[in-house]
Amino acid sequence: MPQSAKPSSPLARAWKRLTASQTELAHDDLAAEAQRAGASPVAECTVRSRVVLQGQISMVAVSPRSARRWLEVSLDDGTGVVTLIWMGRREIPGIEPGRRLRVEGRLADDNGRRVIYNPQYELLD
Amino acid sequence: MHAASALKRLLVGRKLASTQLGETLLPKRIALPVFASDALSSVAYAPDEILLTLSLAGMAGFAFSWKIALVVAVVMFVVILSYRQNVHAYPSGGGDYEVATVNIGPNAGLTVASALLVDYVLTVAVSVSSGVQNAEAMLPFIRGHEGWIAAAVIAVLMALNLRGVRESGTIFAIPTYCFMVGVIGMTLWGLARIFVLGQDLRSPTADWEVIGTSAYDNFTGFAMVALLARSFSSGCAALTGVEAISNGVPAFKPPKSRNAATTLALLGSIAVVMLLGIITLANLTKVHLVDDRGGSIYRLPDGSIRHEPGSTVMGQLARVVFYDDFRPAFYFMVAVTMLILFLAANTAFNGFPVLGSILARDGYLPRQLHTRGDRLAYSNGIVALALAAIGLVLIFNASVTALIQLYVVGVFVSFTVSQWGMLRHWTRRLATEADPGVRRQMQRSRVINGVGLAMTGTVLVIVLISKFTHGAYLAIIAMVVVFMAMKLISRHYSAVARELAYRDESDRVLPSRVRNVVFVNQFNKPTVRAVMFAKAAVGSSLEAVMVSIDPDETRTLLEQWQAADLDVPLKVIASPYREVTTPFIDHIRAMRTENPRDVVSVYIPEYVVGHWWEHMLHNQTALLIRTRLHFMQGVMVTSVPYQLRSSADAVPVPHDPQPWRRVGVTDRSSAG
Repeated sequence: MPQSAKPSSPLARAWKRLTASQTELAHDDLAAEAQRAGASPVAECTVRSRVVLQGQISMVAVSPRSARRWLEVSLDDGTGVVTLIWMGRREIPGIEPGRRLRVEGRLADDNGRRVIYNPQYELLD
Repeated sequence: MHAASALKRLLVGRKLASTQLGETLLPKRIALPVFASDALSSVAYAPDEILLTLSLAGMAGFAFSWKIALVVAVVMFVVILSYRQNVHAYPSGGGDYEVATVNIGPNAGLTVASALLVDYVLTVAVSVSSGVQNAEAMLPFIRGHEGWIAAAVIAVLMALNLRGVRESGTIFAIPTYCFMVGVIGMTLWGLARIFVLGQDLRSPTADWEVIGTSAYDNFTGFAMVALLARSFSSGCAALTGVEAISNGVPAFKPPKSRNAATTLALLGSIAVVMLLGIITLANLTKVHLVDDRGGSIYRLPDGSIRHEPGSTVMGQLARVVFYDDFRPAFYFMVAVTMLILFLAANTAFNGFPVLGSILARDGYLPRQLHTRGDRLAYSNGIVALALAAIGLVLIFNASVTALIQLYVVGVFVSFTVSQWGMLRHWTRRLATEADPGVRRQMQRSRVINGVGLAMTGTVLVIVLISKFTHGAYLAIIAMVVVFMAMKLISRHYSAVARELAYRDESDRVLPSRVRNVVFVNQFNKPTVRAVMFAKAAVGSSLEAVMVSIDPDETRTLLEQWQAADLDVPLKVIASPYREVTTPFIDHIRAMRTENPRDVVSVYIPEYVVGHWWEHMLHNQTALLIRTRLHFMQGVMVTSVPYQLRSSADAVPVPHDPQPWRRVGVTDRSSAG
């Protein structure tokens, strides 16, 4: 989800905060926070580079016992979504929907979606 | 059976199968009263309206009453003659609407239809109001409550018609024949008493002098013509209902057209005789009426002034002819007049729904009007007519004089357009017909319809001019509104039909993938059943999706989910604003945008509950999600019902002789 161009004047910014949707505002907050913490925005990351990202878990996929032992998580940093995959894990304590997370790893491309396999992670709250 | 359905059974009766339709074809002696009650009943108020209008000119006005009645009779004669041609040429029962549509065009047909629809409503309102007014002669205490009583009568008529009155033709026949016998007998006996026995019959209002309004003090020239025209227009109410037979030809016994034409002739003769008889007797016994709305008043013999109108012509005549010598006949006349007026209203209940259903079939009215109800009557049309008529009688407080100003316009619009259509019909047929005998007959018919067109057209113009400001404009507005509404409905239906039409191979492309999604809100039997059902369905992928609102609840559910081991991946979505619907919808939307030819099939477990109050407690989220997903392209929503025990009260579950066949009881996949 590419971020819209920053409004220039303070008045335009105030107007945007009034008219923007709840989701857009939340995205803006997430993106600002990630930037302050020194993480790079998902939208600007290039594939096959090593990245530090910070965002919120928007979805956790629990795979059935018969399937491969992968824990798949969507991380939303306000500018885009990246999929985190921990191989060999069925669950990780603290990795829950809504948690904020700081991850580091190499960005890969899996049929158009951005994936980081086995990232290092840090629970933020 | 519930109390509500028992009540409906009591009021409406058992359901009838479609095959029970059309069992009864009417012989002439039953068809006459069934179709004639409307036309004949106007004899009960047309003379009143003629005299009322003339009263505006004071005593001088009444001298014209028999001349006006004579002109009305001539118009009636011509219209009947013309309609006999319609009946022969168009025996299908489409009536004026069909004649106009086929011969002139759809807009002409719609004009006729909107005119007739408005007039049917007015027929109910006017007839019932007049019936209530006549009842006052016998039951004086209802004075002042006419509006509500008329509304109640219409409600009863509606209930009767929802039962389906087709089968009760004989019930119709008795009051109609009683009315004919009564009116003709009363006229003959009255005339006999005057001319044979030499008695001096004077109506209760004979000695009351009528003072007209100042506008007509000088009763000559233009004012006179205008008033006579208005009086004539009101008298033309006697013609309403003639078209009923042309709509009802299919209900006759064969030879349908011949029988219908004969019945039409009978109807015309009887109506003319009765109208002229009443007016003559009213003149001889000096019935004086006043129009309290128009401003004419009585001066009583003692010199005092009376504003209230006297009772109806029928009531006064019955009183003067029968009250002293043979009182039961007086009550008989009043009762029978009231009854036939209610029956006349009932004719509209036959005509309006049939016309409505034809219009609905042609896509000019909502489709619901085309469906027959439990009793094979067009229930929705009946209810619509009743509601409109109840509205009218309440607004106009069931005043016949006020309502009659709106009346008649519609009938004459339809007469005129239909006669024009018939003229074109014969002209068209003559162009290809070679047989000289048939040609002669057609030419004769064309002349008759031509005269009919000239006559009804003239009357229409007179009615429009003389009554426009007195209320006819309301009827015209109503017709225009109905016309526009039908146009818009038709445009909508054809636009939708165009959009939905199957065109070519490109309309039958298979979706590339079907991705099944089960909405999980709790972990319980309905959810598991939905998951199992989705597993059994064809699809390229399957996932369960739940929205996490409370972390503890989510953890519990996840543990249950993993313990049950359903062999289906579960996606848990974060919900920043503690809300289920939006995150779920967003998730589905994201699945959609990846590939436009994918189809997402969403399974939603729902509880089937037995009581309305349980509905408010359950399924609200499911309902919301379903409604929102319906607006998303390429998303199917499947509701997976789980019947709660309380729903067993609502729907009896039959005993299953082979319970092992039941779908989705066990799932062995976890064993593997």
